[in-house]
Amino acid sequence: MINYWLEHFQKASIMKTKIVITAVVLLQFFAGQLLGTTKYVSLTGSNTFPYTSLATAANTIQTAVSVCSDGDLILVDNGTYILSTLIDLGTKGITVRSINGSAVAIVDGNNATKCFEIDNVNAVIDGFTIQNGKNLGGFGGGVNIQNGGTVQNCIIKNNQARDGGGVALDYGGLVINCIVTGNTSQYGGGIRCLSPGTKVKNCLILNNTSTYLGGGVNTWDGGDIYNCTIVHNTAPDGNGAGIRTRNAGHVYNSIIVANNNTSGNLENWDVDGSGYTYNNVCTSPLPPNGSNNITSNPNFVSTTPGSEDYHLQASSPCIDAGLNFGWMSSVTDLDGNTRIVNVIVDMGPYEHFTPAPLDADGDGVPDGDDDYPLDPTRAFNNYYPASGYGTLAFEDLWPGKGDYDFNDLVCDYRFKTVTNASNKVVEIFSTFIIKAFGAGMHNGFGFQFPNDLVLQSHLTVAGYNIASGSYITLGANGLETGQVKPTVIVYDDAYRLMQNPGYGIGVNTDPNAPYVTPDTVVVHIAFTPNTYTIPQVGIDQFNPFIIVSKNRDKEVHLPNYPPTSLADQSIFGQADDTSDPGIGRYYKTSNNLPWAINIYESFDYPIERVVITSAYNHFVEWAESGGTLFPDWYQDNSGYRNASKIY
Amino acid sequence: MKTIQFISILLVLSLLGFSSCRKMELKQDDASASKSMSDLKINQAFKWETTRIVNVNLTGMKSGVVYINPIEGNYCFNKGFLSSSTGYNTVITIPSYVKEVKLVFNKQTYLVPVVDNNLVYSFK
Repeated sequence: MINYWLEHFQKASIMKTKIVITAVVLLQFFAGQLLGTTKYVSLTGSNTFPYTSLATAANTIQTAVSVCSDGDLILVDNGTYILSTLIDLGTKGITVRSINGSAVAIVDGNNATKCFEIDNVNAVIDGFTIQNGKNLGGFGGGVNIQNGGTVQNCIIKNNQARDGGGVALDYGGLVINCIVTGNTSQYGGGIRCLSPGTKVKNCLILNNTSTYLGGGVNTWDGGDIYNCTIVHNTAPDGNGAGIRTRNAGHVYNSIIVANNNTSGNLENWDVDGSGYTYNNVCTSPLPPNGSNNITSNPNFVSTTPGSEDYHLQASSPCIDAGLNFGWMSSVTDLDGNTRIVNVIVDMGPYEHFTPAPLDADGDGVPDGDDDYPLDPTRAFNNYYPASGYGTLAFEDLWPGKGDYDFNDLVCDYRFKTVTNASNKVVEIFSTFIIKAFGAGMHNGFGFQFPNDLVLQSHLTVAGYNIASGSYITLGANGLETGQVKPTVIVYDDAYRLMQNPGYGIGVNTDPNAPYVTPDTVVVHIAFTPNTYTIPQVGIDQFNPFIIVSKNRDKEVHLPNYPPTSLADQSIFGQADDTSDPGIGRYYKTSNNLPWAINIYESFDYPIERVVITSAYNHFVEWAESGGTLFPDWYQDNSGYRNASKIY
Repeated sequence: MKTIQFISILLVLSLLGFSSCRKMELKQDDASASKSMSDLKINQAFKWETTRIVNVNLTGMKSGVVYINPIEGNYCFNKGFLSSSTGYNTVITIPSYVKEVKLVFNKQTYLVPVVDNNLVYSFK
């Protein structure tokens, strides 16, 4: 079954092999015989001693082995090397390595012989598919490691033996970064470790079978299993379908799941003797003797038959749940990637990592989240109101009561606040759309920041519409002078922006008058960089106001919003106004009616002389309930409006 | 002469009156209103606001961009960078009728209620 994980492994193996071979060839070129000689093996070589090139390569691996001594390297060309007898390295400390990796260099025992036997701590078998080995009476169908040696970057499949169908480690040895699958034996279907000092690291061990003990792995008197995933192996009832550890068998950082005994029941592990331990292992049930073991679902990428993928999902509890060891700094995981990501190693052979998202401007905000992916000084647009434009609606007869059609000025507004990756405000674009004004007076409009936390010297304002020689006085930075809090005047006279169409008063409040296209003013406010956060600026709590009849002393604000420094507060308390600055009461009548309202969404205002309570059926309930009932009274919901009374 | 003066004064007063009448005519209450504004009984504390201010305090084990979205609607109340060391603290203004928001962080979605004008959540 060649599926995702196998292809992935093969690609990683090819890459690693090529890098190692290139390095070794270069070293040999410069160091001559210091590192030993290199022999070649190829099915198409001329088989000419001393086999020092592909052209003169030996035709069998054993031929090359027979002329090697300690420290020599044998490079094996692509091809399937079918054996009639095993490849025996004896006690030579040599390396046998494929040139292009396990996918294309295949050693096949032809169901007749064990494939490899090694017996030296410096012996290495690297980058092969080792298959169809057969050694029914002895140790290791694919490979037998006797007193030492390493098998790495191999796919070991469909081999048979009495002990260790795939690999039998006797009194030393290491199997690392291998996939061990489809092997069978009586003891240790995939791997058998005979004694302490034998080690298996970063291996995927799956679909192996034993007829007696340890379907995936069997440790006899000892053996250390690190960062392996052991799945879908089989053994007889009660004998460790996944792994059977006896005496000094130690398991670390491994995932042992979905192994079934011959009755079909889950049996991930079995133990015997004493001294065995399981630490940082994901399996079920919890094993004895050890700590930091979990029984959670490891959350593999896929367990669907035919498309299994035993990498970890981002949600896996096995991520960062292992125990670090010193050897991990000098090896890769089974994919050829860094073994430890994020300080703590993961369980299993595959280290999970999320590729760093693209961040073209390097501001720390991934491009997908960055509204300005090429500008490191800007990252986010935040809008207020969020869903679209809001509306300000004013009455302008203050301190006298108005007619409450709330159309003496109807102005849509929206702020776009641009922040950087540190959530500091860079700039604000303030858009105002003058939709209507049912006023005979020439009124101006502006807004004030809600507090004086923002220093006026840190702001620069542009884009306002104020006539030359206006009654408004601006500073060099575009803010109105004489103000304690930053104050922006958007325009000084609505009539200068939109002309009366020659019928009625003002603009766009009488349905019988010609429609006048709304005028838009965009005011840009630049901030000193990295100075203020959104809450410190508080633009969503801005204090809008109209300036009545070009009289700078006379302002009308939202209820309970204070006047600016330039307002004449002696008007408070006159006519219908009951403002009391001492208690923070502003712009309210004796029965708490306002002269202006601020609506979160774009508001369809009443036509001239139509009181708002007549146009909106639930305005009264909303107001008298203190905002509790019908908080959405202004929306175009069924039964909410009298359309004939709305412009 | 007196007649001329009288007529002039009368003319000026008439013009003023006309202007005032024109304004007053336009500013009378709508008689068809379900309830006169003058008759409304409004609590003194009522702010006439259609929004509410929410204090946001979000924390997480990892850093990343957090989005504060409405339950329905393709827009965002607020977004910013949540630091695993300092969290994400801000203030947002949302419609009064919004009782719950949708947080998006590290491609995961969380529905979180706004309780007493506070939005508090800790991402695992």
